[in-house]
Amino acid sequence: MDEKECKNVTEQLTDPKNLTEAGKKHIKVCKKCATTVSLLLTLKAGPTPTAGLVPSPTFVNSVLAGIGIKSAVASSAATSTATATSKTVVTVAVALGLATAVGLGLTLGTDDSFNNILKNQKSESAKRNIIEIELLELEALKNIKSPVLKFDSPANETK
Amino acid sequence: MLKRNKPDCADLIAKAKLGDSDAFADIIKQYYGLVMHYLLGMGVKHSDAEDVAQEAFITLFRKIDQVTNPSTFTAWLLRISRNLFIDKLRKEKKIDVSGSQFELELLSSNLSPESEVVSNSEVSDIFAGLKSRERVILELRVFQNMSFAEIGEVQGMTEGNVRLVFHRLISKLRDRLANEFGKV
Repeated sequence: MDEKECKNVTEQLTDPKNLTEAGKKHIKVCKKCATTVSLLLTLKAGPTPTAGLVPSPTFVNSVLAGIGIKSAVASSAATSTATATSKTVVTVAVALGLATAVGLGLTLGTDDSFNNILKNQKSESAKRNIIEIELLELEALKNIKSPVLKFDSPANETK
Repeated sequence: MLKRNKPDCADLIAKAKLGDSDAFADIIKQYYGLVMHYLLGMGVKHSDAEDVAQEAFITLFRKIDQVTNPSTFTAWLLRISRNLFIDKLRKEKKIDVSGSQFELELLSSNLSPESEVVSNSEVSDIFAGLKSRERVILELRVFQNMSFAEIGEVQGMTEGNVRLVFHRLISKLRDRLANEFGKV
């Protein structure tokens, strides 16, 4: 195929003007141009060649500060930090709840409760139920007063 | 013509003109990579390029009301970046333009989460090893649909030279695609 014609088709494919009829006919019979179409479609389907570089929140903030805009990115970062914190709290609570349940199972001398928990974890809804139950357990544990140990006074023992 | 996959910036510009801070942030996120590669393609070191890019965005936003034709927005932004770079070069006479390939390789750690996902796929391998200048030409032509004359203007190259680089680039990518995916 004529190299010049192939280049012309490539330029038409990347130009706002529509592809000419001659160009369309050429693509049908030219393997190279068919590959070019395939290449351009692949490129368009993915990120742009320069999309790999992303600005840091500091960069965005400093530009916004430069034009006198209070950073929206900073506030969204604060929100995400708060979300992350609450997620951590929930994770710790769930872990504690799970540990409590395992502990209870072991105390009773059976692994049944632990095995049940593992089985139930297979479904998402069951998982949510476990979390809720265990959070309730945690709440209940909070309300249990620690036992007060009473000993005789050392003065009494010496008597 | 193949349609652009990238969202149109006209809406963002309109919102930015109304003072929408999210629109400003989105414009920065959308064009940061292009501006950085444009500057890195001129051999500017990464840290200096960030300084110039920062000034370019500030200048752009201060003059956002002057943008009447969104299709010329990209060219305008790159022209501002180039002029600021030249100004800085004149003032300081110490900008390091010896940005090495090693430094460009380090930039891969700045990948966005979505690009990181895609970078694991074979598709992004197409861009691997491309020089910043090549990436910019490819983006301006394929994704921004700029004419060779416009690209030549912002890149400081002749129209014929841009054409030559573009066709070599397409040929290289076509071979790469054929080798990697066996499409030929």
